[in-house]
Amino acid sequence: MANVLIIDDDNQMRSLLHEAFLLAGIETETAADGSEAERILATHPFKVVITDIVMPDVDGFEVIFLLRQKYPNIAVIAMSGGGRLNATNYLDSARSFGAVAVFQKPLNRKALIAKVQEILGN
Amino acid sequence: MSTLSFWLTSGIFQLCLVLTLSIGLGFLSTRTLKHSLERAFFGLTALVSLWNLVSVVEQLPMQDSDKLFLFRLSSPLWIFTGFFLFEFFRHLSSMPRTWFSSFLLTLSILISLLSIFTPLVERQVVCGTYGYYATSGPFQVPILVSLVVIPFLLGLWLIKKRLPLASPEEQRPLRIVLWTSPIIFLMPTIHSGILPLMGITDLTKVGTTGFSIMVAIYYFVALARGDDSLTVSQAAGSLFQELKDGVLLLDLNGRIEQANPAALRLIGQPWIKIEGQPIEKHLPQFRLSQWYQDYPFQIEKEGKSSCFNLTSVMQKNKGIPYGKLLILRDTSEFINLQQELSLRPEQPGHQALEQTLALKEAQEHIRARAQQLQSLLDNLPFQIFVKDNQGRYILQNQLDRERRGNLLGHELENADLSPERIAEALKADAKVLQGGTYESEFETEEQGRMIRLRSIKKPILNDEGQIKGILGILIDITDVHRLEQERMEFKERLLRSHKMEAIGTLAGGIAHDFNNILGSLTGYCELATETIPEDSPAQKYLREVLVAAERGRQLVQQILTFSRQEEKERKSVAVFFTVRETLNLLQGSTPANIQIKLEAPQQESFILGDPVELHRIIMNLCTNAVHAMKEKGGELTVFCEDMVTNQPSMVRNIQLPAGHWVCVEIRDTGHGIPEEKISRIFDPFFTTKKTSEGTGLGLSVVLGILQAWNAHVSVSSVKDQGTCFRIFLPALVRRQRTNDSDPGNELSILLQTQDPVIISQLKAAVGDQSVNWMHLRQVDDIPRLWRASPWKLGVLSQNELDLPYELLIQQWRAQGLVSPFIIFSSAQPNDQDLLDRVVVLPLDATVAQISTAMKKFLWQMS
Repeated sequence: MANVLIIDDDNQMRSLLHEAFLLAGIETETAADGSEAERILATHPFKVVITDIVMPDVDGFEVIFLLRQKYPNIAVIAMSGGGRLNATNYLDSARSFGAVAVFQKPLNRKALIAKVQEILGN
Repeated sequence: MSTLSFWLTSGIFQLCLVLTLSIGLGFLSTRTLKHSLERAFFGLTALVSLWNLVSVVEQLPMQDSDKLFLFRLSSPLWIFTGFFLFEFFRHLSSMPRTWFSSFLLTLSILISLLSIFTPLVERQVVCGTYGYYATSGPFQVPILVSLVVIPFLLGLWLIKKRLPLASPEEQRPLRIVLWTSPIIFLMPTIHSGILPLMGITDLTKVGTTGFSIMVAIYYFVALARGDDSLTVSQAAGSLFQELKDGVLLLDLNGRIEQANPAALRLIGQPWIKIEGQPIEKHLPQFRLSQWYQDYPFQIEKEGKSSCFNLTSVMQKNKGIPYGKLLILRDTSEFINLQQELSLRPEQPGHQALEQTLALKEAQEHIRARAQQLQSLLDNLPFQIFVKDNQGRYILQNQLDRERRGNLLGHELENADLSPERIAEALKADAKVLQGGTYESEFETEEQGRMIRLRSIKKPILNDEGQIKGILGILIDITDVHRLEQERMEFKERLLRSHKMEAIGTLAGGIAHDFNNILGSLTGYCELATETIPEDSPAQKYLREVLVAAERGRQLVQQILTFSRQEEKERKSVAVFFTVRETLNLLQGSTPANIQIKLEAPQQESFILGDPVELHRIIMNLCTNAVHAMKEKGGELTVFCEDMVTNQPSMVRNIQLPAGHWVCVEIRDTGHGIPEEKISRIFDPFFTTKKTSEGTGLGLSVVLGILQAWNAHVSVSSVKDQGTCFRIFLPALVRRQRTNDSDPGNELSILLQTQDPVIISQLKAAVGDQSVNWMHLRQVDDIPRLWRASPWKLGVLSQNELDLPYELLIQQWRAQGLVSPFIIFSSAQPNDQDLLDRVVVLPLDATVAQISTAMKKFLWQMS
């Protein structure tokens, strides 16, 4: 069973991360948006959620907020490619929302995986 | 018939002839006959004169048949009297012409013809007691009545009708005519009309006499009115008011009837006080009986004295005196001048005195006017001068004198101007003297600053339209011009910022998605490199893909930076060091035909900014320079200096405020930038390069950064000779730096390695912490950089070192370089002393290992 959920509206990004984690030996599940994520999270317990910030419908902030409320034990990692604002602005906000780590896109894949491994390892 | 009576009759006619003729001629000589009344009267007078003449001629000895013919020929003369009388009365009563006049005229003509050619009017000539006369035909009396008496009576009736409507002065002549005419007319009527009925027929010629008397009476009494009296009195009225001399009208008893304003002033009394008063009351010395001719009077009134010369003139109307006219000529000035002149030893003659006084008065007048004019000119806010036809200055206003010195009497060549300016001015003068106008703007230096003047030159014409000189006006438009330029600048800036905003919006929109795309690209590529075997040929292809992806990432960064004008946190940056670094990096990629030279002071200068951005700026400018020279080769010179300016100065073509500046000049010997393109080089997406070579964003990014730093940049370029960029960065006043690093949570890591794998792993190990990566290639520079800007951790790769790392680190330790190092090498250090500050990792170390090593040092440091 996967411990890690990846939420990103970009198809390729989702499958890329899935592949990357697979190579690193970590199973992941993916969701395209916040509502799908909610559904998946309800199925079984997760340990880590990696979410993009700028997404249509339910955006990353909402996801983080939701997770903090419903699943306080899940570690949230936020990532962002920026948009109207600087990515760091988004990420700082994400951190204050409760994300344990934030990553800028284009992703430092290794760092992300390392972080997840760190969280899972603890 | 006795000779006496004969000559008496003829004599009377002659006298009447003389009378009417003289009246007629006198009338003609004094009046212009413009008025129809004058014409009517003259006609009547002429008719009567002619009648008198004929009467005289009729009495001369001649054949009876001739006499009869003459009598008959002269009959129209008395037939027409009716018509002429009627017309005269009609004009006198200001009645318009009606059908009656024409009817009368026609009838008179017809009857005249009848009388000349038939015996119906004049039957035959008879020699009576008092001369020859013609006996009347059957028609004579009726004709007399209808053509003479009736029009006469009708004319009188017209006058009577007019009388109540006429003004008083017109009524007088009308009344005279109305009353005297019937009486005068009575005589001829009796003699020519009534007496013949009683048998006395020899006095019929008395008619002419009667008419002559009538004409005389009309002339002397009725026509004295003068038709232009109205205009004369009008003119007289205004003259009366405006006259400088006082005029007083007295009646025969010495009472004041009229006074003009000048008189009131001289007497010193208002009109109400003197109206109707005896003159002696206000002019005590005046004697009514005495005759005055320029007699001096003096009146003292409330401390003010007025003195004047009085002349009295008798006012007579038709010889009857009705009052006195007093003319008062103000002499107070004259007295003063007289007193002045009496102090002089020689007494000038009276005439000379008058002339001198007049001259003095004129001079005073002119002086006052000249002063008025000069005062006006001096108060104008621009320079005015006047030159004569020879180019000599004859007038200057105050401002012109202040600015250019006193040039009066001098020519242009003496003015303190440059030869080109003088030549230009002479040309302008020549043009103006031909009748043209000259306008131009130019800049000149004045008291150390540049001012801009507008010069206008026009010809001055005299009354006849000849050119008598040149009028010149110089207006200082420096401020206006500056404001105008500023306005243009603002407009441009606004335009530019609008453009930027638009691009920013666009950029921001795509950046996010683009980053995702790049992310996928990079990610999958990396996965691929990790998946396929190491020695696969595809590896290097994949590496190229990664490089391309990295370029894409940088491009997005550039766009975003440019569009957002990101406020990166600014810290102190070693300028010359960064410049050197950048040039080193550049050296590797420049072709051999391009020389790179650097001149920089030994001592480092600092600015507040971001080293990456400074690197970007230098790189950008240098890349452009290299590109300009890539065909023919050349020299790229970078010259750095630290400068302090005490006042604002013009450097090249930009205004540099006072202050401490770090100047970096990048000069190339390439093809240069054409003048029309120079203003656009900083525009986004403006590029002269082919699409594959450049995006055109470089310089706009540079400008954006410089503006954020309050730096200045100037560009100068000469075609085919080269371009020179000069940037002025505001210097950061150096704080005393200790060898201990800045106690902050700023993590600075020195990176000497260029290996992308190592770098990416390092970055992975660092994670999301913000790190100031100090890239360095030249190992020799490390100690100097340490002194300038110490770091927390240094990372080296043995593969890129010329000497063994141990040796280098030993040397550096000796120089005081105490930072910890992570060294990627396959060899472990021999010197164990180094171990606590050095970690050696294999080239294929994992991120975790790197992370651990870093934690060790950083934890130690903090």
